[in-house]
Amino acid sequence: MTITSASPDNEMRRELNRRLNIIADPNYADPARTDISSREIGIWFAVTTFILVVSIAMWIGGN
Amino acid sequence: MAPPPKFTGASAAFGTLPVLKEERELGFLDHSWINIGLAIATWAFLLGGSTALVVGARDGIYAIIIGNVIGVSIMAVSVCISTGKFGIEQFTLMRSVFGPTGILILVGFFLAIYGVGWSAVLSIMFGRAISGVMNQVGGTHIGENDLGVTLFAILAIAISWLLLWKGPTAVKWLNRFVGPGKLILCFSILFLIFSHKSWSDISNAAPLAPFDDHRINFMIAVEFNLAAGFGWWPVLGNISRFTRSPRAALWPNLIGIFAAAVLGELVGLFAALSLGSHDPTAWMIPLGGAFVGVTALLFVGLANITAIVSIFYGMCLAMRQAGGRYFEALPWGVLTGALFLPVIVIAFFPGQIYDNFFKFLAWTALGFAPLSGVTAVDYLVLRRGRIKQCDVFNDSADSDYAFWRGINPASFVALAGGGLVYYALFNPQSLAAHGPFIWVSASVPACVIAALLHYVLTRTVVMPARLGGY
Repeated sequence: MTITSASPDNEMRRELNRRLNIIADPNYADPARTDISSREIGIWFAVTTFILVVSIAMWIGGN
Repeated sequence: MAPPPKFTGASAAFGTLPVLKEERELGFLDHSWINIGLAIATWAFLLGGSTALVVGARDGIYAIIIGNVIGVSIMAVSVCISTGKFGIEQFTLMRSVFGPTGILILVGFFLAIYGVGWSAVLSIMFGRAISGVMNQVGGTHIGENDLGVTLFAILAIAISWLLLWKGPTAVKWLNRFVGPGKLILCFSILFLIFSHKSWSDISNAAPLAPFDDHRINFMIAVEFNLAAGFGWWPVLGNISRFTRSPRAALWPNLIGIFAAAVLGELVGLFAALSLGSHDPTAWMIPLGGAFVGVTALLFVGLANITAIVSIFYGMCLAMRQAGGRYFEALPWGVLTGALFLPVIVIAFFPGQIYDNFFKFLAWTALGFAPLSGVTAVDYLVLRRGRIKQCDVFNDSADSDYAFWRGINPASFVALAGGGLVYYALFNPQSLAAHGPFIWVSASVPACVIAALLHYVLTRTVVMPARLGGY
């Protein structure tokens, strides 16, 4: 049985609704649900770009 | 406070529901270790071996790093941040991008090709590994493309299906041995290579089957590794949804997937150049002798079974969920068995499939690079991290994500556009390169063009129609 089952009284649908209600509660606190900051994404791309640029520079330098 | 109702349903096994705080088991280190286990696998050896087809050791090292760091950096942002935040199964969450019918098409067509293709490659690798053992121990003479290889490949498929049908949890148990074993195998191969050959031997070894143009060879090697990086798209979202923080969802992809894949591929690159074969099953006995070689081949076989089960488990889960009422009547064993049938057919052509693995890899990049671009721009730029969780589980027309008859044409046009750009720059079948491929590769422009197309079409067509919940 799947969540999208046609049956309105399916166990997964009931469990899904229970979970969605918990998540929708304004008092529900889950650190994973905080938005990642733009700064963090910026650092991510800065680090990967650094690895990329250093690799390209070393490759060019060796040729 | 009343205890939560007892939940006994099949979803405990099929796990597609949004996870709650107490079910998020992966911190930064746990997620990193899981990713390391995934990345250092026999496929990393194959990828390293494929890189050795066109470049030598020095160019290969840079191609592996450059391709993987670009692919992983974009792919991780496109799937791991959103699934980590909402804790929802990846392909269910992607209904917000493609629509419920759209995701069914995507899963049924593209993911099936990916899963069937990879499983075929791994099962044939199993067949060649066990044939090597039989030749060494039993005195048989099974050639690398003989029927014996196919029969062993079918044996791998049968074992994988039984594991998947009767108890995917058995794979978790197997992985406790296979995971560390892969690390040991990796370092053992490195040790054996450098105990036989010097660095100058390896660095001076010629690529196995290069083209005439040095620059094209290098960019094809980068392209293979871009394909490897983008190729994690269907896999990682369903792991990161169990992470405890956004940081734990994102950064382990750099430590785990990128760094570990680079290590595994470098082992493959050096071994292929040292031994003159891109096939990992041909390395073990020449490197380690009869006993060590046979043990390593048996381990490669076992590792491939767990890899096939892992790929198929994710794929079947996605199909079952995306298929909704169409697939719910199918018993789990029948659904998984039906998906294994094409793998059996393909196993009868070991030479054509396994030895052309790099072409399959390039074809998958034609799909996954645009997918990464579209999903990244949709979640981070167009939605700014906002998704209506109730609506991704809502099949009716009043869902924000119903789009037009359950399909978001903007995302599919963007995918097609990205795919065409890829094909125009690099033919995955003939490996013929065109235009600016030698400067920009094919995956990167395909990803960027698909992202731009999706952004423009959503702004000009979908949002004015007040669809998609943007």
